[in-house]
Amino acid sequence: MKSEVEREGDLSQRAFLANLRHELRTPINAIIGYSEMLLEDADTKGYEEFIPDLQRILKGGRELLALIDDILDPSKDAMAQADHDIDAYGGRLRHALRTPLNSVVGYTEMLLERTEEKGDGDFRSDLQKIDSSARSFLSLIEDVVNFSKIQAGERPGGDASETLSSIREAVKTIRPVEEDSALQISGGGDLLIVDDNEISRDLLTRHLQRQGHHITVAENGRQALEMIQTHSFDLMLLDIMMPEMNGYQVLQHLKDNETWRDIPVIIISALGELDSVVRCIEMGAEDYLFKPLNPVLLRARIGACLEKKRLRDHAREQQERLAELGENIAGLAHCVKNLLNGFKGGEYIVNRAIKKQDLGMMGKGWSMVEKNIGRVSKLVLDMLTYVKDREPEYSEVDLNNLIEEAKEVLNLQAEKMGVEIKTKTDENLRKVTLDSKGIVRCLVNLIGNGIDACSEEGGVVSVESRLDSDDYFELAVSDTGCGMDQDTLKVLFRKFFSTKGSQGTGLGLPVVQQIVKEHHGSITVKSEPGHGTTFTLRLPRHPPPGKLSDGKNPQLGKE
Amino acid sequence: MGDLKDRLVLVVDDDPDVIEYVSAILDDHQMKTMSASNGKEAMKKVRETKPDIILLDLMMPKQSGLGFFNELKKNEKYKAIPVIVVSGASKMTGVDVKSYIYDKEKELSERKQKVVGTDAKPEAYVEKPVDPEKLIAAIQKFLP
Repeated sequence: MKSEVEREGDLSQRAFLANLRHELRTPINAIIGYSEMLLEDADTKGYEEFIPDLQRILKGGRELLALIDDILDPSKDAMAQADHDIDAYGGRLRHALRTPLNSVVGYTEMLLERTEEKGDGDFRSDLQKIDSSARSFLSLIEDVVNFSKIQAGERPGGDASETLSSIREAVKTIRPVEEDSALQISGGGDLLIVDDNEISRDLLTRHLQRQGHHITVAENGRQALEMIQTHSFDLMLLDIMMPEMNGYQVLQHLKDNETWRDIPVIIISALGELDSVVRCIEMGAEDYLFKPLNPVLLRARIGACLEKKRLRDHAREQQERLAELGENIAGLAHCVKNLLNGFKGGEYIVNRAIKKQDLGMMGKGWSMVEKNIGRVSKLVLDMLTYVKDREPEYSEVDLNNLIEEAKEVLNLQAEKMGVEIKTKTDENLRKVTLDSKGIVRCLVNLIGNGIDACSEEGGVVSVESRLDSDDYFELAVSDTGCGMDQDTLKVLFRKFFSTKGSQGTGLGLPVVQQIVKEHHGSITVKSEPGHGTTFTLRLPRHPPPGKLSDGKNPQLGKE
Repeated sequence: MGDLKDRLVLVVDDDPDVIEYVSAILDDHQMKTMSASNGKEAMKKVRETKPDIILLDLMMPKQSGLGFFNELKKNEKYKAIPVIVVSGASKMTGVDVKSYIYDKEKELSERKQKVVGTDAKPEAYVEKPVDPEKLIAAIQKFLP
C-alpha cells in the first residue's frame, strides 16, 4: 500500500503526464500543419524539388503524433508503469520518439540550408516554425525525463522550464485533414480572430483566407474590443485561454453592449475546458470548436454561422421595411382623411346650392372639390417619389431653366399671398447634369414652403444658385418668414410631420431629401424664429462616372 | 340639450374650406357663425362677442389652437364656454399631435408660464372628415 505522500506523488505525476500529452500536441500539430501547408503550396510556388524532404518531415510528424497518443494514453499499461518509475518511463519515451524526431529536425535543417541562397522568405519562415516546434517538443520530453528532479526543486538546465512556459504559450494548431484545395465559399465573411498565440493565429488565418474569408487578428481581449469599435465584423473566433482578459470576459463585454451584442462568436478551446465552453454558450456564444481544429469542420461551422447571421440581418431589414410601410400607410390614410373633408365639404355646399338655386354658392362648393383634386395629385406624386428606390434620370440641363419652371408653378400662389420670388443665377451653371423632374420637384416644394412661411405678412422668397467648387454647386432657397425653433428643426424631415397644420402632407421635405440623396448631394437648414429660413442643397454638377443610365461619359461639355 | 336657433358658434380653423363647410352646416340649422383662422384671431373674436360654443381645430400652425384653448380656460369670463375639438387627426404617424403639443405646453409651464387648465379638457372630439349629423349632435349635447 502506498503512503499518503506517495499517493499524492502519483496523482501529481498523472496530472503532469496528462498535461504533457496535451502540450506535446501543440508542437506536433505545428510540425504537421506547416509541412502539410508547404506541400500544398509546393506546386504553385515552384519548390517541387523540396517535396520529398517535406514529405519526410510530414511523415515524421505523423509518427510522433501516433506515438504520443499511444504512449501517453492514460488507459494503457505504459502509463501505469510511470507510477512506478518515472525516470525509466521518461527514458523509454525519449527513446521511442528519437527516430521520427531526428527525421523532422534533420530534414528541416537541411532544407533551411538549401534555401539560404535562394531565400524564399515565406518558405523559410514556415520551415523555421517547424524547426522551433521540434525543439520545443524535445524540450518537453526532457521535462519528463527530469520530472522527478523538477519535483525535487532542482532545475536541470534553464532551458527545460523556460521551454515549458513557452510551450504553454505555443500554439494549438490546426491538424490538417483532407481538404479541398480550391475552396471558395460564395460569400466569404469579414472575420476577427482573437488568440494570444501567434502560430495559432497564423495557421487559422491562412486556412480561413484560403476558404475565401477576409481576416483580421487581435492578440488579446483588449485589442479585440478596440477593433470592434471601429469596424463591424461578421464573426469572431475567440480563444478562451488568454492572459489578462480571457475569452469569457471578452464575450461578456460583447453581450453587455447593444452594438456588439449581435456579433456571432465561435469559441475556440482545448478539450479539457468543457466547463468554460458551457459558460460561454450560456453567455450567448453561437458555437464552439475544440483544438486541434479540424479545417473541414471549421469551414462548415463558420459557413453555418455566417449564414445564420445573414438570415437574421435580412429578417431585421424586412421588419424595418414593414414597419416603414405601415407608417406610410397610416400617414397616407391621415392625409386622405383631410382631403376627404374637402370633398365632403364641397359636396355638401354644392347640394345645398342646388336646393337653394344659388349658382354662386355652387361655384364655391365646386372649387373646393377642384382644389382637393389637385391636392390628391400632389400627395400621390409625393408618395410615389418617396417610396420608390429610383435612379435619377439624368440629362444635361440649364439649371436656370429649372428654377424658372418651378417659379412658374408657384407664381399664382405667391401673388395671392403677397410674396415675391427672387432668383439669382450663376452663368457657370448653364450646363449641369441632373434629373430635371426631380430637381424641379425639390424647388417647387422648397419655394412653396417659403411662400407658406411668409403668408401672413407677405415677404420674399429668394432662390440663389452658385458654383461651390469645380465639381459641386449650391442651390439655396430662403424666405423672410416666421422661421422655426430647435424642436421643429429636429423633426423637420420626418415623414408626415408638417408645420402647416391640416394643410400639409408632411411629405414635401422627405421627398426633397430623397431626391438630393439620389443625386449624391447633401442638404442643410438654417432657421431662427422670426428671422426666416434657408435651405441649402449641395449637388454634384455631374454624376459620378458609371452612374448614367445610358452609359455616356458624364463629363459633357466640360469647359 | 339646447335649442340651436340663433345661437352663436365660433369656428376656428386654418383651412378656409373647413370654415366654409362647417358654416354651411350650421347655417342649415339656423345657427349664427363667426370664424377665425388662428388662435390669436380667435381670442380677439371671443372678446368682441362671447360665443355660445366654440369649434376648435387643434392642428394649426404654431400650435395656436392649444394656446388659444389654454388661454380661454384661464380666463374667468370665458372658461365656461364649451369647446368641441374638430380635428384632422387624433394620432399623427410618428408624432402624436396631442402629446407633442401637450409636451410643448408642459415645457412652457415649466418655464414659469402659468398654464391653468392642464386639467381642463374639451367637451368632445369630432374627427374629420366632418359628418354633419355627428357635428350637430355634439353641439346639441353641450350647448348650455
